[in-house]
Amino acid sequence: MRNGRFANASSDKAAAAFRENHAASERTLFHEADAASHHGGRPARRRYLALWFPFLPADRLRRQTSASAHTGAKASGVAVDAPAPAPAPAPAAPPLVFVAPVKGAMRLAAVSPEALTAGLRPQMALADARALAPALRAVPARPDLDDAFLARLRDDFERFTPLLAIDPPHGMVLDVTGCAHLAGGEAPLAARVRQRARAAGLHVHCALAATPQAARALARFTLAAGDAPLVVPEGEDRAVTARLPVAALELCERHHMTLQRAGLKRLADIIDRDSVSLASRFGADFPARLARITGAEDARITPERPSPPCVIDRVLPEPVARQEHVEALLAGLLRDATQRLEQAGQGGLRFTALFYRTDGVTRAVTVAVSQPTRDAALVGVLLRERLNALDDPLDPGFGFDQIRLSVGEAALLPATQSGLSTCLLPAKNKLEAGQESIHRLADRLAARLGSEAVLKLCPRDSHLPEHAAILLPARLASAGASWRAFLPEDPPLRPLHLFRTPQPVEAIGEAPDGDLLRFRWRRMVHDVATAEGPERLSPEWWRTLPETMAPERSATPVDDAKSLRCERDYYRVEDHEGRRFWLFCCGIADAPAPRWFIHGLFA
Amino acid sequence: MENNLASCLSGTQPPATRGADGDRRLHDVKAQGEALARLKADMAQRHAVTSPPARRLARATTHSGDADISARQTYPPAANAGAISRSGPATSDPVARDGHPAWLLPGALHDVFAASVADGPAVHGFAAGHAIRIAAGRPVVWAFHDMAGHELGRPHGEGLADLGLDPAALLLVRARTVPELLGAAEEAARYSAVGVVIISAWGAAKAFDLTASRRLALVSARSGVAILCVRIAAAPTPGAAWSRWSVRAAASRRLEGDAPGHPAFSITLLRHRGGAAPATWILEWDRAQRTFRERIFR
Repeated sequence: MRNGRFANASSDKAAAAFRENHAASERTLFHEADAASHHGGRPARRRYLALWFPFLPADRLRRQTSASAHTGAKASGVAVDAPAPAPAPAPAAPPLVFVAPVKGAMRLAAVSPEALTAGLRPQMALADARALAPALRAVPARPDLDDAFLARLRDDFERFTPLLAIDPPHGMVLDVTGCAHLAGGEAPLAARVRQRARAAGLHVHCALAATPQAARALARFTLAAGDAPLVVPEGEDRAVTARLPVAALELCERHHMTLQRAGLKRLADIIDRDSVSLASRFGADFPARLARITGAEDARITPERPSPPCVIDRVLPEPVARQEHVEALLAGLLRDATQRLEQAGQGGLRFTALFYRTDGVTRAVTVAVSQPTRDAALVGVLLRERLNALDDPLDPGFGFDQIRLSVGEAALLPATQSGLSTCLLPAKNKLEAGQESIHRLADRLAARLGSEAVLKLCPRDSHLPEHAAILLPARLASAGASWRAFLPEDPPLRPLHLFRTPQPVEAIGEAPDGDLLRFRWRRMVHDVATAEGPERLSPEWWRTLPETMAPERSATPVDDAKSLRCERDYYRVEDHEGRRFWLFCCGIADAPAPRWFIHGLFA
Repeated sequence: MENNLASCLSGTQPPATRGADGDRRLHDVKAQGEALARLKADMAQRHAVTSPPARRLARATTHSGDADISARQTYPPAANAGAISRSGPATSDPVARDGHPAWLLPGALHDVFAASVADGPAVHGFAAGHAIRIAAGRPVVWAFHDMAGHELGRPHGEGLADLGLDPAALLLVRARTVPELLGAAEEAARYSAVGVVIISAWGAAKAFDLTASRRLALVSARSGVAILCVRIAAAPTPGAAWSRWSVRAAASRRLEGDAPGHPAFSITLLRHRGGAAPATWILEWDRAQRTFRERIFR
């Protein structure tokens, strides 16, 4: 009895702990709502975490070389948990510098920690650097690779918050408002972020403050920032940022010198000065810049991706790699997401499943539907279809440790009664059911072949054939105008097939009045049996672009594309074998004689 | 001609399936029964509505003003709401009334080959005409091989509307490869809300084997969705299709002023599971009545 009770109690405790963990792991980020509810309705103070990677190029190069030397692994991965070399420099490493030509001279663009200790600084001439450190290794700077690496880091750091932006150079800002409690507070969150960056073999400075500018300035200009994350308590921004050097304002060289000469070394020296005189001396934006750094003025970041209406996360204690487990997790996430959408009276239009691999590679799979839906099974089928159709299949590697489902786009979807079988419904509803199943078919095909492969023809208000009908993805199709009216006794006056670019035709025989008698197209000679025309179509002068702005593909000869920009005389032509063509004749500005083109083929 | 009519009418049963499982066979038999019943009702309706003198009259008034107005009122097909019945505009269907084998059976697979590479547009016109007739306002899915798009140009909305197919009811699916094309068509044919599935493929491909053809035929028989498999730049090959055709462009009947007239096709029946004898006809597409009209050609 006693034992049983104890066992029960302990299992209860375990269950409670599990529930707590589970609750923590199923994070639903409703940012604005979350933040507002925490502060009882008054405008929420936002919190920003700025990261700065002071040796990003050097860290990138070291990761690359060590990855290729040790495992030959793909360089695309961020490989956080892979055996990354410690950020501490190996004793024998020569100073590493990245050089780029500046005004004809090679100058240092970035340096490694070893080079910094050797006294080398960015912007130094390479010759001077070699004099200081003869053993240095110079590598050409690759800002494009640095940017790509930073973008991959951003994707990985998106697991902490959906709102984040790259903060050039070599930094990023995370909007962590309402996210800190998920990691157990702001300091633990900052520690986790720093830990993730250091595990990836990166030097990082982080600071958490009330404005993005304050966080940036603290991360970049506080000497102690390398040791531990700097978290500014709420309301103390002014006091903390006052200790920053005036360089943190990042003024131009001239203004910086002016401040230095005046003996103003720290922000504390100018914080209390009259803003009017500062503005007149250093430009109108100077007081605002100062106010943002000291936290007096609120500013926002522009996130890389807009915050989705609904995000649901599963943070997994153990990575999963088997496909059936991944699918089961996805099904659960979809169930939760659809419940949430139902509460909001909405239906999702775009669903993205994000797979975070343990080694930092992120993979996103997106499906879109044409009608808002809350049908978890339907979206599940579409996601499976998309996953099966991927050119490079989803590779779990060592497993996924977090799976996120975000509903990227949602629209109102009122609740409808379900359960009446279609045979009981009146005919109108049956037609609607048929229409709905066509939408489903389009969604399924789009998930398999890509959304640009499932198209609808949409009419546009133009008399030019190439503009009158456009092909749009079925999801985006809209009825803009109506189709051209025709007389029933007329034969079709527009071709069944239309070439994107008119194809040149060689006129072999022409009657004295200019009519075509015989022409050669695709190395075949066609004798004209009968023709009707001309039907003159003039270019739309109110829409014509200047020659230099008009898009021209290099693959097509310039003349063929040009032919669409001049007045065209169209003929319906039938040859002796009964093939019907839509030819036009136009005079191109710098061609000696009018030229013939084929624009379409009739049935 | 009479012989063909009789064989066509008696042979309206879709191919008997030799599927391994009885359940599937049951399904097919059921689908066949439904298709047959529909067809019979359809034919009966057509015969009942137009007795021969009335038919002649209808033909005579085709080009009068009244007929024009009525045709204009029924266009586009989507406008006559609820037009999901299989019979379509039954009274205005001369060729169908005559029981022509060229009247493709709904709920079956039909192979249509272009007689030569240059007959691509003609064979598409032929397929579009049948799609208009069979779909009768329901959506049409046109699976288009990218290669065909490069060679012939992409389908043009105004041209389709001119033939009488409402572009709003058309879903165009582009496929890079033949297996993708066949997969998309099969998926589309599973939805019974679809009227017709057209497949346009360019070139001879290994993927068009007996298995693929049989799959399409089974899907079509089960859902009742007709599949028109258009092949350009390919020689006719054996398959499970209900009928197999070769289509080439034919000289049109001149309009006044010696202008090219309505689209005309010379079609050759190569094989018909209903037993119709191989023969050649010249058909003309009548846009006003949305039907094919046979041209006496001597």
